[in-house]
This record gives sequence, C-alpha cells and structure tokens, in this order.
Amino acid sequence: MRTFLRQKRVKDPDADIDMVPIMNMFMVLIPFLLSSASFFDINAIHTSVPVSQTKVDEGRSKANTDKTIIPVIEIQGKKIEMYALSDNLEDKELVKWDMSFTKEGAHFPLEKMQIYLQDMKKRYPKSDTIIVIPDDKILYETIIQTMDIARNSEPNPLFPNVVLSDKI
Amino acid sequence: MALGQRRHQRKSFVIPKLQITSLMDMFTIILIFLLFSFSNNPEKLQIEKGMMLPRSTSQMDCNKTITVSLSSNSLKVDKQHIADIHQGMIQGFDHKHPEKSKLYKHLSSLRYNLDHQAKQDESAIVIFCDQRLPYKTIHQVIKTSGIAGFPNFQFAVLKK
Repeated sequence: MRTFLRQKRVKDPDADIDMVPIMNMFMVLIPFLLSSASFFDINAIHTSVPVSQTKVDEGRSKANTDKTIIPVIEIQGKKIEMYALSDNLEDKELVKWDMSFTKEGAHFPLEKMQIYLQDMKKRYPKSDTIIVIPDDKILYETIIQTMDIARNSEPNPLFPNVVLSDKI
Repeated sequence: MALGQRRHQRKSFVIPKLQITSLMDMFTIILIFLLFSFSNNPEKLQIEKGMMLPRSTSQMDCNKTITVSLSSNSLKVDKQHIADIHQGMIQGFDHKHPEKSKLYKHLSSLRYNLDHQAKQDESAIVIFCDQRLPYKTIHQVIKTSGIAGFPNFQFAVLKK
C-alpha cells in the first residue's frame, strides 16, 4: 500500500494554476488605470477679492462682539510691511502691530512673519481673515509662499481666509 | 530507419513552459501603484504645457467650474484663447476700463449662464497661473473676474 501511494505521489504532475484570465484582466486594467492616473496632485488655495458690503452684512458683523483683527501684509520689492485693521480695536492697540521685515538676500523672512502672525492669532483667536497686498512686480510664487505662511493650516490654522487686494 | 528515428524525436518534443511568475509580480506592483495614484477626485485638471505651478502646503481640492489659465504667453478661459500675454501685459487690456476687455465679456456671459442655471453657489474660478508671472498680470485677471461676478477664486497649486 505504501509503495502504491509513493508511486502515485511521484507520478502526479505539478498542479498548474491557469494564469491566463488573470493576465488578461491585468492587461485591461493597467492601460485603463494608466490613462486615468494623475501623476501630479493639484490642490487649491481659496481666496477672494474685496467686495462691497451690503447692509445685511454690516448688521451681521456688528452683532459679533468678539474682538477681531485683520492683519495686512504688503509685499514690496525689498521688504514686507505689516499692520492691522479692526472695527473693534482702538488705534493705540492697532499701532502696536505695525512692523516691517526687510528682505534677506533673495528671500523674505517668512519665518519671522509667521511668529508675528502667531502672536496676533493668540491675542485675537476669533480672527480668521488676512489681507495680502502685493506690489505689481512681486512674483506669483512669492505670493503663494506668503499665503502659505499666513494660513499655516498644520497643525493650527492662523488666518485661513486670504483676501488679495490692491493698495488703496 | 533514419526517418523513423526522426519521427520519434518529433513526437517527444515538449512545448517549453513560459515562466510568468516574474511578469505577474511586476503587473501586481504596477496595478497597486496605479490604484493608489488613481485620483478619487472626478474632476480632471490638466496643466498647460510649459506652465510651472507653484508648490503649496494647501490640502484643499479644486472645485472645477471655470478654469482660467495664465501662462507666460497666453490667457485662456476653459481652453478658449482670450488674449496674448507679452512681458506680463495682457494684450488689448485697458486697466482703466476692464469692462471693455474680451475677458470681461466672456466671463460676464458665463456668469449670465450660471445665474440662469441656478448654479450661483459653484461660482468659483480656478486660476492656473505660471509661478514666474508678476502680480500685475494676475491682478488684471482677478479684478476683471470680480467685476464680472466671480469674487471667489481658487489658485491651483501643486502639493508640496
């Protein structure tokens, strides 16, 4: 009996799985996925331009009694001027936030600017809007970098609503 | 005799077995990679050839409604050529009277169509802009868009 089993085991051919249908499926799936794959990840920065306020909006903003501040970043050729606007704060308080950051080499000192904005956010946590006013010659890349610093979404967002404006 | 031997040899010929294990491995890896890179965003956004988008830490997705593409030499709205750009200046654009520009007229007609389709909530414009362009050029576009009834924008950026 043992010899019979041994003989049978030796004679059994290797069980071959039929891979052809799987290969066919791969051949269909791969071109489809290749055609629909995106090799770069496009995200978006949401922004707006200032619009004229309606009477309803004015009423709504007055109802919100929490003190808020709107930092303004003016990106100039060689420096960044920063100041603050507010409906609820006095000029004395706002003047404290006037600051200027001079360009260091080819780059703006964005890290210093971030510390300044973090401090402002800590003092007025309800604030969520920032106004960015770039000069005509400022490159788009610099504006995006500044916006990144101003929003700072990870881990604590600073000013997620960025408004691009023109100097008045 | 010789012929008989040859026939015998032909009969014993075994078809070589194709080893597809390595091929299967490769296909599995490619399939997994493609499945992971498959975008779950149904909107397919295409960058124009030669355009360099800036990189950002933003995590928000683009909600595509109207696409404005600003490259170093042309301005397009939804792939339709609107104006040429030369040295950062939109040709035929009078910055004192943006409402006379072709861009304003085009965006106004889109605004009109959206209002009639009751799609006011989805009125953001996605701006694809080359990172080397100055703000002067972008400002002309966003100002005109704001006047035409599109005050909200999304700047398309590449994930950092």
